[in-house]
Amino acid sequence: MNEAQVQFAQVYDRVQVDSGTAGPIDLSGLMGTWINTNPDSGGIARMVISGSNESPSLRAYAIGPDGSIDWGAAELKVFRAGPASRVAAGFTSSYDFGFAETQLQAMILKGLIVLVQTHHFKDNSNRADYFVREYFGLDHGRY
Amino acid sequence: MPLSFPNSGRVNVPSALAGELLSAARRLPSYENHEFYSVALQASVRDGIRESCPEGFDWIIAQINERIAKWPYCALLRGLDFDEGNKLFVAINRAFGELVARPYEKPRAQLVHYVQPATDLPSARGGHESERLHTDTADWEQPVELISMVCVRADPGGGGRSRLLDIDAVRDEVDKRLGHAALEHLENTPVPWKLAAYCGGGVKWRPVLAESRLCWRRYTIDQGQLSRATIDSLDSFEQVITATERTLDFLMVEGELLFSDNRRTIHARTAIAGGGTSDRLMIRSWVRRS
Repeated sequence: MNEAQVQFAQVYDRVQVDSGTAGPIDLSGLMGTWINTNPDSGGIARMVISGSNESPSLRAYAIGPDGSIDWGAAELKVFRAGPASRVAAGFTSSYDFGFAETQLQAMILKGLIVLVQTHHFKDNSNRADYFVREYFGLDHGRY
Repeated sequence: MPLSFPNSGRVNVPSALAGELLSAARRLPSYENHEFYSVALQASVRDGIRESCPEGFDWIIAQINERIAKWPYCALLRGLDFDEGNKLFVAINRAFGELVARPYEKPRAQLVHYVQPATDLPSARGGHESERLHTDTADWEQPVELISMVCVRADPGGGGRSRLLDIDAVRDEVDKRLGHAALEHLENTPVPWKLAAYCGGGVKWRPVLAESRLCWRRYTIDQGQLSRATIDSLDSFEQVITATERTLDFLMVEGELLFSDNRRTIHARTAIAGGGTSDRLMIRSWVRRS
């Protein structure tokens, strides 16, 4: 199939990628512990991204009234910078707590993770769904 | 035992972001120090660098803002790479307001000011005035709101450690050590601050302390116009802020950038053993917030 024959919905999609050039995704820039750069955050304090290229996972720790709350491990769906790129540019993940669902969408920005969270309540508590956008920096362990 | 710099005031800038900003700074033309007196040029440099990575640049500014808005009223950034022409330094400062300085006059007065032991003002009381906790521009009608400083070279002997004391600690220490009446006296008694000749001279009467700000530089207060009781009160105040162990004490290392609220903190540096022979170099600017 040549470039003119691939289906596309936008120009970004209109690239030819064969199995030989696609290559494995490079997740090296994602792995590690990411710390919320807002010290006053009431949301996710840190995220640990680990695993292999084939099955990366995320574990989030949120701020709780008496310490951190471990959200547990969640599958990570990683996206590349483009249809022919090997570079990881962002990811999505989700948590279902029963009473609420949280969707995470992230992009990598010059060494920071910009994390968008959407929170949807399912418990008829009258709490409104809400949106949060925060930044995370890789833990360097120097302080 | 003084306090070390708190982690809550620190910001680590990722190397990828630092590299992007440095590249953007290097792509801009070079300017002479005196040209940076133009606030329009300052803004142009800020915009030119910011457009290379707006979200990253804004993130840095937000990080600084968050930290200077509350204790410790200062932010210490690590990881930035600064260009030789000080464009990135000007750009970051200009995000908070206009960079201001006394009129241009090398080597003591430049908008991007080079702080070196050899040009420090000696004190009539021994040592250097920069070794005593003070407010910058105390001799201006209104002292500047922000000070920023980059460490280019630390003193090889470990001298010149930065010291910062905040308004909350000062008020609390005065209240505890001297009593509430002394605190109220310092709040309610204006003292005459000698204004710089380049500001038109004269004096400006204002108290040393307020609820959320302080101004202190002993040699700028015209003691000849004060009662004995007020002079004693200032002496006691100086003893308290000199003796307290609540002063932050830390050594800035090469490449670190410190922003401090000049109205909520007073600052000093420790003595430098080598005196004028030390090659310690800091770059400083004053910012009038907009």
